[in-house]
Amino acid sequence: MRLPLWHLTLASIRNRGLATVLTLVAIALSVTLLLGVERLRNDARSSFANTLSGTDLIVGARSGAVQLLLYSVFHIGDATHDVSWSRIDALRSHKDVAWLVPVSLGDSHRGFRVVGTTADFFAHVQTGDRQPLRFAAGQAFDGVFDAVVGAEVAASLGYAPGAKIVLSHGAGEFAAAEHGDKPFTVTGVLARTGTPVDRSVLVGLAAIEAIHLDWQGGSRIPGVEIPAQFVGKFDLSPKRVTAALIGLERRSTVFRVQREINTSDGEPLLAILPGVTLDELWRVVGVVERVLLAVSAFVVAVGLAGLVATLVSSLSARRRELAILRALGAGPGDVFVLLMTESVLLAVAGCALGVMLLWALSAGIAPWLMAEHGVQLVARFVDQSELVWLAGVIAAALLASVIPAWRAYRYSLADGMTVRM
Amino acid sequence: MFAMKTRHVVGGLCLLAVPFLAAAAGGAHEHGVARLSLVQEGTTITLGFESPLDSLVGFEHAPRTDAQKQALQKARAALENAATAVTLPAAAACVVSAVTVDMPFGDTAHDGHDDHDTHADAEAEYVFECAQPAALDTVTIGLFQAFPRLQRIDAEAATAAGQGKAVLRPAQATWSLPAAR
Repeated sequence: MRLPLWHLTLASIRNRGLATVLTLVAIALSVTLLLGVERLRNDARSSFANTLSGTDLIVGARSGAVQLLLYSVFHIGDATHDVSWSRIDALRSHKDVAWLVPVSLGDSHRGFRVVGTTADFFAHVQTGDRQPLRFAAGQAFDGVFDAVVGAEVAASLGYAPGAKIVLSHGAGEFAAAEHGDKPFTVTGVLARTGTPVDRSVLVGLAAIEAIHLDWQGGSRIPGVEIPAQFVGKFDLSPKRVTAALIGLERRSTVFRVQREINTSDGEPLLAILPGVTLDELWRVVGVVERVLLAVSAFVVAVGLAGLVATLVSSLSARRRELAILRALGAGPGDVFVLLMTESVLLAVAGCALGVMLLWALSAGIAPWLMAEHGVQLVARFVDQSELVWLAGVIAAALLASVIPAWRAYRYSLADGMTVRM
Repeated sequence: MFAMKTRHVVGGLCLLAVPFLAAAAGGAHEHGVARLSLVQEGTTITLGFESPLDSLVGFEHAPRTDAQKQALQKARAALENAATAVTLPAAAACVVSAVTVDMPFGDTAHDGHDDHDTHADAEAEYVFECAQPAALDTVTIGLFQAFPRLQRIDAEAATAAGQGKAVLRPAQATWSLPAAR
């Protein structure tokens, strides 16, 4: 009669409870890390890719393409230069340009970016798979001191149409830099998009001019104070903007228009194709991603080494047990299989635990990640590529368990019942 | 945790990347590197290829010897052969509708002065009409075989499915378009 091996395996695992549990936890954590890095990488990519669609070109001051994309669309970093309004106006009347949405950055509201733009923003900016922006409440700004807030701004600060808000100059670190004399009224709240728009306060370009009428070079001009009701007497037409989003009449002209802008004389401008620049960004970030992935693969290797170490060190304590098994009729092959089964079972259990931990973790941090970084973590158990990684981990475990299994096999050949412990 | 600094890491990296990415948008002249653009508008696919002359024939001045004249003619012939230059998937059912090749020093035997210090670029444009543009998922570039000096093609696409960029090399001459991702 053959020995019921799996039964012995379970019994022997149970016999060394604490060491087994610790090994299991180490493997589970390493698997969580490996899959987490991979999942975060994929989801961050698709979040970035979904931020803007339907925009053919982005135009800004001549700097780096990636830099322009990051500050104009993702609100990461700052522009090195502005673009004069006359150039933007000229581009707007370019025969190949269907629409142009100017973007003026530089102010903030309680940590959220203020985006100065035109009402065209709501008509032309699309996210995801050509999804237009929708209003959850209210409507677009109309007057100078009207503002539209993104879903995240509304949710975290509790704004609804009618609320009064005060914008700050710059990133808003100093209370002295508040445009407190010119409060804004919220006229609309945008529906959630999962993009930086959610964390933006949108106002008209005239509003940006108006709040800076009595300002110069980043601070208030001493003794000059222009009350809000008088700003209408001033020229509020925009002088400079940060960047502009452009949609073309025909897509086929995109590379020609880009070249035209990039090689134009006068004020140096840079036109980029957002999707192309995003791919350039991924090529650079890809290096770091691979490093992260390699680190997490090493962590898995460490976890598996721990598994082997636990089994190997337990072997000397189990020499009598193995000898008894042999006396009961188990062949050296059975001992080998017993040890292999033990470690693979631990690896599989570790993977399962890791996947569950990852699921719990991602469910836990998803709202925060969305709110803070605009990265949408899609809740899922395991997808196909993750299954491949898991299979790899188990294969590696199988390979590593040959060491303790082989040792056990050797012992079982050499040892008699009279092993001295 | 590893997740927390994503945005800052991405942002910081980009600043590092700026110097060498700036060249890509400006259209720099770099030997061994060519540029390719692909635009899809309805059923019309337009591919624009632009390469330093040096990457194609090994020199960038008016031809001085018969061998150099022949090299120029051979290069022109290779660029004009749309069927070998670019291969579109059969499922897209594409036919060539126009090929334009613009080679420096091409037609006139000698224009009086050699340009030693300026660069010369060769350009080609291929227009295809595709009955099934939705099936256009890859483009295979045959130009690496015709021009061994060509080491890299920076390829940019704007299609109905989106925009994208890829770097093609002799060993990796098939370009997955944004639609296929």
